[in-house]
Amino acid sequence: MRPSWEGAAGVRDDAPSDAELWARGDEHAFSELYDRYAEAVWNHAYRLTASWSTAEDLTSATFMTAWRRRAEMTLVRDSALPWLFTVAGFLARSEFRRKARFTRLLHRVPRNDVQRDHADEVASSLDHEARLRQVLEAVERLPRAEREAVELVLLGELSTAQAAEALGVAEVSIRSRISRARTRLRKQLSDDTLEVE
Amino acid sequence: MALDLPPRRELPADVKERMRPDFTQVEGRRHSRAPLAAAAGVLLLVAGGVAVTQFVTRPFLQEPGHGHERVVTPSGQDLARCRTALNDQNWQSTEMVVFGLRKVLVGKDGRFCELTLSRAGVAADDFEPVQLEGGSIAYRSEKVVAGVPPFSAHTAKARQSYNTHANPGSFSDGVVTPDFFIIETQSRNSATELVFDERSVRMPRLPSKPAAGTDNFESGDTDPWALVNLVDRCSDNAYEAGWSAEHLQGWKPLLEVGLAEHEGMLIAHREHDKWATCTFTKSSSASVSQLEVSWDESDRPIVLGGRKLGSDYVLAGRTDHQAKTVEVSDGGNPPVTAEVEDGHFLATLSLPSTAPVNRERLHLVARNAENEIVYEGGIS
Repeated sequence: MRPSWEGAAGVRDDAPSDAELWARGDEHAFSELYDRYAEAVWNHAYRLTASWSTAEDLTSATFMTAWRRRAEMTLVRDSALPWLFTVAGFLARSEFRRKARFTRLLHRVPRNDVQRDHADEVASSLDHEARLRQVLEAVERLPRAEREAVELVLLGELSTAQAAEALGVAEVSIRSRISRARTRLRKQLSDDTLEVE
Repeated sequence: MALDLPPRRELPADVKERMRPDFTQVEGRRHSRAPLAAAAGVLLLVAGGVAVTQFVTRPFLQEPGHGHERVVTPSGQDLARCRTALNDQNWQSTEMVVFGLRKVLVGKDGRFCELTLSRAGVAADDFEPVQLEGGSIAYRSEKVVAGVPPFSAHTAKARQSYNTHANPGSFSDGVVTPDFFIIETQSRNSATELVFDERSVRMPRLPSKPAAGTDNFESGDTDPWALVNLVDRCSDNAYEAGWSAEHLQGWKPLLEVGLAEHEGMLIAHREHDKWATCTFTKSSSASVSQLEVSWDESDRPIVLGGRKLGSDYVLAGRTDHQAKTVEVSDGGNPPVTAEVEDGHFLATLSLPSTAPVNRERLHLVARNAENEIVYEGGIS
């Protein structure tokens, strides 16, 4: 099995690469890409929006955007995930921030999608969501370049190299942006939303 | 320092299937692949092509205004006009951007359609989208540039340069969404650069006529000489000349002279509160003048405008609002009588010579419905 990002489906060694699937560009190839990365994108979308229901919308929109624009783009190397995360981040900003809905979303009462869980799990989910909202509000206040890097590296847990490739900048720039962003976030976030590595 | 993030969840099968897009349902317009953009990694290049469609099954994408607050849903009438212009009754569009009197519809197939009150513009048959460094131009008319933006562009504007040495030019802001951008420039064919965020792209050389325009009227009447259409043509001309759309919307015909001959003058009104004139000739469609709005709000009789027609002179004027008829003379000829609407009239004076009308010699007698004189005196 090829190494895969946590949350992405494992891929057999003899399976076509992401780049090969992308190059094929038919619905079966994109369905395969969806199967590989739906869970990863869905979790990332939640971390971008703090709402599981919105994450569903965002996940669908991300894959649909990739599908629509597949003819315009060439995947140079595996994997498609950094690109999909970049699309998700862009769509999240363009859909929500421009409509001034982003903040409202962050403050929205949690949806029913967690209420079927056990009570302890519900409490835990709400706690997580509350802290995630705090984080997202702080991330939202970052300069754009830092915010994009944070979304990929700190929220998406991509490597700085992958983020650099996805954003088309040097890796050193990503490291620098992350460093500056950490400093800003440290000032903005209370201690209980941070962990010391 | 790391962010305290919620743990990832395993994706339930039902949620996965609920989110799964129908990849067969939405097709991009083009399939030509762009060259590789980078030597390493997953760097992706947006390099032309048009793929503008909407995914319509998810809630937040169903809302009009997808991606930008200026994006609205076109009316059925707008859609019908574009279908006629494109000669494609199956053409679909759910997104439109309004720039003053101009509307630009974005088709699900990536084609754009530009509407004014009296015209429709679409890409010329032989026009192919032009690739930019990122994105592409899919439509270009005298005042509109539209296409697919570079991925992740947040802003789009056009630099307009008139004289690159003396004048650095000005910018026209446009509308950009993840799927398309549309920019309206202030002057014709003046865009020299497109600027997406902070990145400038020189306007590529385009065919001499990248767009095809046809008469296509908001009124629904196809006759370019229908009075309502004539007013719309006058309004469009004024808008193209730089007048504000705010002053040019909602005009309706009030009076006309010479319409049957396609050579004359009209008076239009807006809510019976504002009045304007416009002249027209049959020589060409371009010979319809701009709508000239009267800004004089006093009650005194005034000349709104005039036009020489052969040996006649059509005089547009305003008098007392109670008047139903006026008798106008220029001092040397018998007076002519004209009907009055909303206190306005069009009188056709015979000119004995090629000499222009001397406004100082104009004399006006206005009568009400009881034929009583409500005004008598000069008009200037």
